[in-house]
Amino acid sequence: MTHTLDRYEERLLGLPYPVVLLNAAEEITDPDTGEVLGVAVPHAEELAAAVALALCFQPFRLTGAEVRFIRRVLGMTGQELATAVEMDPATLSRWEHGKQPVGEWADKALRMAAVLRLQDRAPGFSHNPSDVVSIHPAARPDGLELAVEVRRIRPLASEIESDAAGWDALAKAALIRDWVSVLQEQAAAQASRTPRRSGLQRDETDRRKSGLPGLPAGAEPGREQHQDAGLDEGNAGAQGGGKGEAGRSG
Amino acid sequence: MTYRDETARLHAIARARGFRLVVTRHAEEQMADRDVARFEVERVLQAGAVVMVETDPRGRETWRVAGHDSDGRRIEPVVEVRPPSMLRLVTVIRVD
Repeated sequence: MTHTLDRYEERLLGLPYPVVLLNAAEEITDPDTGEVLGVAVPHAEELAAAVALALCFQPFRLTGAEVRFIRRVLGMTGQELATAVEMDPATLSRWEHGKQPVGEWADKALRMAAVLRLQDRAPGFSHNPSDVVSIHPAARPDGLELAVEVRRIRPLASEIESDAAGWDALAKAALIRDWVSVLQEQAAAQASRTPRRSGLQRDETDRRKSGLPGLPAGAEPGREQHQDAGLDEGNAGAQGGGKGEAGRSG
Repeated sequence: MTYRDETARLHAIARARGFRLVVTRHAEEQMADRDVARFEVERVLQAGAVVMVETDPRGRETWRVAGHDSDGRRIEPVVEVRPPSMLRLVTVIRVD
């Protein structure tokens, strides 16, 4: 017997923080004994690719753990990835182990290499690969942890008659929640702890000065905004558009 | 030594569209301790080889599957087969 969980914190993706799966993970029960066998996450490979792509389009510099996660999703050794982005394997290793911060140029080169390789593995992740070129990853404020939520839509039976439709429905469902609103929530939490201007606010000011994308026009750091309108279940097209906007926000 | 028939059955299950890898609480803890990701286990199940077959006291077969993670380190997931499309992950062994 299968019971789809409304919310499940997936901790087995190899990231130092959980990825929240909405309406996706399945608790499996033995029909004979009633014993809970465990939790299944359908299409884990596509999920990992979608999360890796989301990290590539977020506006802050990657951490070592995120670099390692992306490499593992790519299925590449450290040597292979270092060769792909034309860098010293020892430097990549130091990044991954947190012994050296990831520089902006290298961060961007890695994102571009990853997006090119992953775009076909998460076909419903709506994004424009060339947008990654315009990202200038900002230094991550101390203590800011990114939160990733992935949403899945239950497709109608008629939509999963073929493999292609099933994958498409899955891919459309594997949406990364609008990064901007997530970051705003984080900023709000940070602002409530720090009376002075927060690191995220400083970053936002810097981004505006430099013309870089960040929080949307009119948005105030520290104030939560709900931007996931149109992400309701059953509105896959609107969800794809919403995610695309999220992707392009970076 | 590998188990050719079991390996063929394993690949058929793990590559099927409706495949589900059910992770037990114990396996989840082992994976976290040993730094093995869910998608890495699935890759091993889709391409690895069954190297050991055991039968538990309830008469259920468990298959130990050999493969490698993204860093080239050998890992060996142990799964219980739940036909037609389910594998229950009992544990993951890292062979260093």
